[in-house]
Formats: sequence, structure tokens, C-alpha cells
Amino acid sequence: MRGSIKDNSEVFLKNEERTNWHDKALWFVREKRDLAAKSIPEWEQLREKASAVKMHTLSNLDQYLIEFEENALKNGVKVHWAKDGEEHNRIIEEILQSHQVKKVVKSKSMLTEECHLNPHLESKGIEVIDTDLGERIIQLKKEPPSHIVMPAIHLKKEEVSELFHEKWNTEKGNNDPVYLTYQARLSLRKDFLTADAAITGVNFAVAETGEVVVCTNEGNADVGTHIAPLQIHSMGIEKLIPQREHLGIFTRMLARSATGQPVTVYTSHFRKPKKEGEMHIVLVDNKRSERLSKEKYWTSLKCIRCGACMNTCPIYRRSGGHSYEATIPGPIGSILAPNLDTEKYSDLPFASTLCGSCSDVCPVKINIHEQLFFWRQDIGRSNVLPKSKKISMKIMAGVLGNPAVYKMFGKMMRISLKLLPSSIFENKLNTWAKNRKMMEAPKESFQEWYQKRKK
Amino acid sequence: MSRKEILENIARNKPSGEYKLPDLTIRPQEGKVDELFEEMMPKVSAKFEKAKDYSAVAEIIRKHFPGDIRIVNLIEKVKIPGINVSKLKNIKELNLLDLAIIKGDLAVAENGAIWVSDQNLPHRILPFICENLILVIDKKNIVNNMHEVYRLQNNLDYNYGVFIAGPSKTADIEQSLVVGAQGPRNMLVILVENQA
Amino acid sequence: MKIALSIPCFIDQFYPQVGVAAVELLEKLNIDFEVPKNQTCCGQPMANSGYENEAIKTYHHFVNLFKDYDKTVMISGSCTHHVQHNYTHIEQTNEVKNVRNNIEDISQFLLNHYIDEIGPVHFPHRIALHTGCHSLRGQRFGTSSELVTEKKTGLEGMLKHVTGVELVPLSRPNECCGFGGTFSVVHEAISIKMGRDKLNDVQDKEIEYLISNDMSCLMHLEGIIKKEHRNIKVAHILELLNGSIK
Repeated sequence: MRGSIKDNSEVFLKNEERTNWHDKALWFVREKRDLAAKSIPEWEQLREKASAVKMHTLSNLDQYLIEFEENALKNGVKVHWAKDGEEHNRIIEEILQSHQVKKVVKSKSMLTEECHLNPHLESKGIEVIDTDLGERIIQLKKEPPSHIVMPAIHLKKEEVSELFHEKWNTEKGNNDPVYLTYQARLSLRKDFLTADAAITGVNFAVAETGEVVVCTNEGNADVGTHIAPLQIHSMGIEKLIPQREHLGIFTRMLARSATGQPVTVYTSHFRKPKKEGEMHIVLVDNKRSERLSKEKYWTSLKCIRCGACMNTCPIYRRSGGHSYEATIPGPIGSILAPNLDTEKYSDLPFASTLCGSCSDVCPVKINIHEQLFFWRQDIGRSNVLPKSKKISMKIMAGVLGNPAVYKMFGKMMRISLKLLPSSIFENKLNTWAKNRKMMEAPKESFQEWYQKRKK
Repeated sequence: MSRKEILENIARNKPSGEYKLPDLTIRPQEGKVDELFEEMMPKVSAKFEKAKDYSAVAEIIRKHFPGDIRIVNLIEKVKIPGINVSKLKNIKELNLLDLAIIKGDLAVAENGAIWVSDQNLPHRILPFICENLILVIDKKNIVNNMHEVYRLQNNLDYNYGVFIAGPSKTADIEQSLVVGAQGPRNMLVILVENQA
Repeated sequence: MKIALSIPCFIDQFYPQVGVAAVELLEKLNIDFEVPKNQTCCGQPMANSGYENEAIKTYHHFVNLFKDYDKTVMISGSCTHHVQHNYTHIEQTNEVKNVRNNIEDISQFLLNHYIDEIGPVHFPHRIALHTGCHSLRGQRFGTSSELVTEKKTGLEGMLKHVTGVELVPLSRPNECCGFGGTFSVVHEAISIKMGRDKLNDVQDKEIEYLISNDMSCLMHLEGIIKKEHRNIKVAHILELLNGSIK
């Protein structure tokens, strides 16, 4: 059973010091993003153009996919199509089995998280090593990522040190990130040298050339693919853009939005397999084509997975990525997950004040907070929400839709606030007043004052 | 076949509105590209030197790496001896290579990224497997921004190419920036003012 | 021009002094206006909770009250935003379109047309401003910190003729206060934490008054202030401009 973000965030918030630490770490990234964005005077123009490129591509996605496949085949790349996560995993398993692969190095890919590739391959006896440092940490800790760009942002260096000590026998109590990173480098280098295949995600795929572009800071996607004889790139079909020239827009915005860097350290363009190597691309739908038909939600496919909406979100920062219990947490996750299973993730669109910061920070201008509002309506209309809530809404609607009832109800409220002991309102049942003092009741409402005054 | 099913689903579901591709003319940043590029170097944690010509490049490299180390030098004009990679049996032998010296085709002023492609690389792994990386770039090959570089590259024929902006790095442990993740732990960029 | 003053339900019931400040200010400016009888609510609480359909009756009631006015000035950026953006749920008759087009948050209305006729007001205090998120990002009342555009004047522009005031910037100028309508109850723990963080920032900077154009944000923050006996006062910008802060 999936826990709710409400319950999970309450647990997270119990440790206030840690919540503050988490909140500050992410706000720091948001501030770096602001500086980076402000270094480009035409930033808002770029956002507009990025959004336009994505909308254009998505509205012609079938043609661009065909063009992409044709060019990739010409490049000597093998192209596969998977309608869902299960098929994606099966395809990759088959490719690996046919090469007798025992060990795979993988660089960051939210898609393989979405498809649960690791457990699948492990169940078939194939060892998977995540090679992004953050991913490696959480893999060793047997946890899901809590952020799409900084998967281990929820962990403190002391915890990483303890983990490395336990798994790799590193120096106990050495919490220096430089030391810890070096130890991970040594361990991962051994894995790179012994892996039979490398899997990466894809940031962008170019229809006119059939190439895929992968962005990393650590270089792990490159070290992996250039050493192992077999390379596989898994991509959601929405990663496509028409031409190489369009990469200019996205590579300028991705890292600036994600971490505040001017560009990722490596922006790697894979067009053809290396000498004596083999290159595969797996195109994954997993309900993306279905989402194209949803008038209110299809633009969420513009997402380039920069994570800026998480860093800016006041709720994400104070509840932690794990509280969402979804592959992709935060504001964007809250509008993506209900597409996959509306009932299961029905609580997520409500975990927002609709402040709109996510939409303003989004480099491809997804109207995230508006989609959150739309999801609330769709979920409200379905029978997912508890009946008790529906009844209270009906009562509210009855009061607010009828002025006479409203007046009487308002008066009753104010009189009872005055006469009754505050303990009645400030008890466990009244959530509003658990940590807030109840509003003071004025002797008359504004409308009463106004009517009297007119006379 | 999933291919057919996916394509049919898309054809049926895709939004019907007309969404045009945007105009890609974007005003370049003001300033001299070589100066802008140089300013970016510390920001991407790369060391930076200027050489008046290619013989000066070799001097600079000797100054930075005086010892007896394993080097792969892919630039003929730079007279520094090294391992002959064409005779390499297995690329894994390059593990813990001390230094790779590689020519960059184009460099980008706005972010310090340098384009390296397999036109200049006998093995794709070279700029990644070395502990120290030197990228040499001609001053005339610096362009303003990413839009410009992609336009210029449209005629380039490569099978693999990468923009490299500094040594590999990570901030995955508590957001502390650590240089030297899975790729090189140091990077030196040498700008050649007169390439003749 | 026929102008109506629209009063949100929570101001009517809990903060009548803000409505009073609005009336007195408009009168001082010699603006001819009416306060239509039988006002209730814009329906946002229901829609925010995912029950737009339950709000339809309230939407129609609202439209009926204000359809004949050339301008509806509403004492809340958030309610104004709701009418502008979410009344799309009912049939778009001319009346509905009229109300959606002609509604304006009173703060923005005053800033745009009357700011030089207000005051001078003397307010010798350290203050911070909090623009409600729906005004800031929904109506672009000011420029949100995410955007790379020229700064547009917002709430701070309303201090043009306020003398003696010391405006102190907050560390995270646009961070949401945590109210969010029903969010404040459904996600009470996060809401309270957000409120406390905002108030800690205010307190650290020894600010006396937190001034907003949205009383609902302040209702939430004041609840925490009083519960925790913090030494911060809150007030609506209209009260400040009317000189009626007690």
C-alpha cells in the first residue's frame, strides 16, 4: 500500500532540524538557478521557444519518430519500440541475454526507474551498477531517488560515510565529501572496467540525425558506454526534437535550471556505434501516447526533467522527495503520476498551495500549478475522494450559494466563537486551530456594519 | 507489433492545433568571445593558459606536467612524446592514464564548453579515462553561444561528439562540489592565439 | 462608471475592519461605488478542493450580483484570480464574461489609477510586504523572483505616499506563506511549517508589521503569531493606506 504524502510529510517534519537542512540545501540550488538564468537576458524568450519546439514536436510526434528511426537505422543503430515498462524491460533483458551479459553499468535515467528495470534485471541474474554517485549511494542504501537530479539530496554526509564504511570498508568517521567521492570513484572504476554493457537515459533525441544526447556532470554515461562493447539508450518518446539546431535552446537552459551551472560538464552526442561496438535505442511509450489526447495534460510531456520545480517548491523542500511515493516527486511528479494511475496518486495534486512558483521556474513553461488544479477537479468528480469530504463540500456549497443561509451561518459562527470556550474550537478535531489561534469574532460582520451605516 | 500500435495511438491522440517551430534568431551576448570564454574557465573549474603558438603549447604542458608520466598526445603539432594508441590492444590498458592531450574543434564563450568529436579521437574513452585532460583550442574557433556552435556544426560529420566544460564533477554529497567524479580530475585548457 | 465593491467571505466574517478601510478609502477618493447586498463567496474553497461542480451555484450567485457593474473591485487578489481564471467552468454568457473581465483586485485598482491621490500617510515602522501568490504570479502584481524580466511595480508601489516607513526585504521575497486555502487544513503540518519559516524571517529582521494585499495569508499567519505569542503585527495594505491600523 502506498502511503499518503500527508502522513509521510508529517513524519518528515517531526525532525525540524533536518527539515530546515533539507529546505536550505534545495533553496541554495534555486538561488544558483536564479543567478544562472539572470545571466541570460533573453531567458524568457528561450523559455517561450523551448516550449514552442516541444509543442510542435509533440503535435507531430508520429512523423518525427519515424524520421528519427529511419536516421538511427542508417547510422547502424538498432531501434526498439516498447509500449510499456514491462516490454521495455523484456527488450533490454533480451539484448543483454543475447550477449551473455553478466554485469551492466547504468547512468541516470528516470525512465528506467519508471519501468523498474533494475529489479527486473536482477531477478534474471544480471548485476546492475548505478554509476551516478547519488544513484550509487541510494542503490547501496536500497532506497529510491528522492530527487530527479540530486537523487541522494535527502542524505547527510555522515550517513554516506557510514554506508561506504559498511559496504566498502572506507575509513570510519571520515565525512569529507572529497574523500567519499574519491572512494566511490575507485569502486566504480572497477565496475566500469568489468561491465559487459552500459545503459543510459536520454535527454534529447534529434529526428533529423537519429542521434541521442546525454547530459552528465560526472562523465559516467561516457565512461560506461565507451568501455563496454554494448550500449543501450532508453528514452521516452517525448524526448524527441526536430533538428540539431534546437539543441541550442535546451542545452542552454537544462543545467542552468537544474543546478545553476552554465552547462553540464558533458553534453554527449551519440550518433553511431563505436568501432566493433553495438548501439541500441529503446523507444518507450508507457501511456505517453495516451496523454497526448488529454487536452489539459498533454503539455506535461514538454518536461525536460531539470528538477527546478522541486527546488523551488515550498512543499517539496519541507516534505522530502520520498514523501511523494512516486517515481518523480515534487510538482511535476504530482501532475505526471495521476496520468499513470489516478486513484493511486489522487492525493498528490492536493499537496500544493497553488503558489505557481513551479510554473514560473519551468524552462519549458509547463503550467504545472494549473494542471494541479485541473487534476483536483477530475479527482473530485471521480469517486476517489472520501465521502465525508464530499458531504462537507455539499454543506459548504449550500451555505455559500445561498445568501440567507450564509448570513445565518456566519452569525452563528461568530456568536459561538464569542460565547463558547476556545477549547471547543482549538481541539484535535479542528485542524485549523491545532497550531493557530482561532480568529477573533468581531461583533458585527462587514455587511451588517455597512447596512447599518447606510441607514 | 508495438511500433505500429504506438504510432497509431499517437496519430489518433496527438493535438490537432497547429504549433509552429519558433524562429531561432537569438541575439549573441555582448563582448569579445575569447575574453568571455576565459572568464568562464574558473567557473567550470578548469585551469586556463594562453599560448602564442603550438611550440608554446608544448612548453606550457611541460611546465604543468614535468615528471615522467603516461601520456597520450593526439596533436601532432605539439611535440610531446606519448603512448601510440593505434597499437593499443585493449582500451582498458588506458586506465589510470596520467594525461591526454586532445584538440578541441570549437569552443563556446557563454559556458566554456569545448567540442571534441571522434574525428579527432581514435578512442572515444580517451578524454574520460585520463586523470588529467588538456584540451587545446584555436582562438579563431571560439564562438559566442550554443546556437552558433550548433549552426556551425551542421556540416560536421561525426559519429560521436561531446561538449566538455571542465573536469568531471559531482555535488551529490550534501551539495558540496567535488571535482573528479568518474572522468578526469583536472582539466587544463590552452588557447592558441596564432595557430600557424 | 458603475463600480461595485466585493467583499470576500472571510473578510466579511472575521476582518470587517479591512472592508471598512476599503469603504473609507474609496469615499475619500470620491469614487462612486455600491456594495451589493447578499454577497457570500467566490466559490474558491470548493474548487480548490476539487469540487468545482459544487461551486457552480455560488459562481452564478456571484455573477448575478456583479453582472451590471462596469467594474468590480474585490478585496482579495486570490478571489479576483479565481473569478478571472476559473469561472471558465460555467457557461460563458455575456454576463459571465463581463464579470470575469471587469473584476480587479482593489490594491491593483488603487495602484493603477489613484495612488497619487492617496495620503500622505505617516507610518513610522519597520515593515515587510507579502504579496499573495495569486496576485503575484496569477495577475503579475509585481514580478516574481523566478522571472528574468524588468521589474514591474507591485505592492511596494502602494507605499509611494507613505512617509516614515522602513521597508525591509525578506530573505525569500516570494516564498508562499503556506495558507493555500483548504491546503492549510489538509496539509496542516506543512502549512504551519511554511508559516513559521516566513514569520521567523520577519522576526529575525525585527520587523514590526507584515503588510499584505491578501487577508487570507494574514489570517493564517496571524493564527500562528497569536498561538505562539510572537511579537509581530499583521495588517492589510488598505488599513495602512487608510491610516486605520490600531
